Amino acid sequence: MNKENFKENMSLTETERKLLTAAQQGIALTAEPFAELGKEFGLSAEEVVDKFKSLEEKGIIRRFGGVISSKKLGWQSILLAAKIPEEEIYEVVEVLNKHQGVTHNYRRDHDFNLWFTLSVSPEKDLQAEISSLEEETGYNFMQLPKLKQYKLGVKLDLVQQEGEK
Amino acid sequence: MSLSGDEKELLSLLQTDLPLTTRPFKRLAEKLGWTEEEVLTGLQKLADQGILKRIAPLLHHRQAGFKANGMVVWQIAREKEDEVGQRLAGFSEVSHCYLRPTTEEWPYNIFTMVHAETEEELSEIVEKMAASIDYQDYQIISSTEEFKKSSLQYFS
Repeated sequence: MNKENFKENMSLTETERKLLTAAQQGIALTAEPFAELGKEFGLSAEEVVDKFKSLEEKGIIRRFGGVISSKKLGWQSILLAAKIPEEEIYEVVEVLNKHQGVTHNYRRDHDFNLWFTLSVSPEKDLQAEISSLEEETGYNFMQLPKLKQYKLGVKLDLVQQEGEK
Repeated sequence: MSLSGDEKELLSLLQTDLPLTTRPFKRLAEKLGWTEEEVLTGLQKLADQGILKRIAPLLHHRQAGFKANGMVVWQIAREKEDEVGQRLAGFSEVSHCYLRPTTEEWPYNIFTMVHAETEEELSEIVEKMAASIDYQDYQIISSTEEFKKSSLQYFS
């Protein structure tokens, strides 16, 4: 269970911002992707690698890896929300977080104070999984599936961050 | 979509940390006992099928300077939802924008995730978003505690 006690004031250099923004689009699927990325900014492959390593060590990069389409693999996902009494929230969270398909789980400042996502593999039944979690926790969840997607992808623009928009 | 054993192996490996070296796919190849060329061909095939969206750094928003992250929900009339959804999605500070159903207890149908450096900046952006669609019926629902944030393990 991670409290949001992250370090403050992690400042990124201009080069780091540019590299991260570019790399968020996906690196090239070629033998030397970091050399290609570095070319745009006048950096060598080694320099790019060192920068990403240090960003990973600083905890700015959570994971450098593949972004996989769960939908294409036949997984079903849903956003769920619940109203949980304060004194029971950690107990409920513990039950939910044990489920591998619960990937995001947050306390939010609202009557619906617990918001989490659940994904299940193609051979499983989403509604059955929801019911069993409801039974285990003793609470009902509001189901908010995605009906349409206008934008998906956490490609944040770090370069503009300090500038005028 | 059915995957071969090789493809599953490759995808599983892609869910771990990519080796940060100048030849990362050569390193993956060594782990799999494949050639670098075979890895690159496999990656391209998965990308062409849309299974592999990209290989990229996933960020901790907070550490990257986005300390104010809000789920902003909007109550939008059905005939306007697509127009509004697309307009809100156009803001660079918005990472996700979805249409979701409403319930008796929940009147908000458009969900946006908005990221900013400070709470003040977040409010300013949301005000700008609201002005752009000429609509004020929204709520900023901030996360106050992260209980879990992980990636799915597909083949474990």
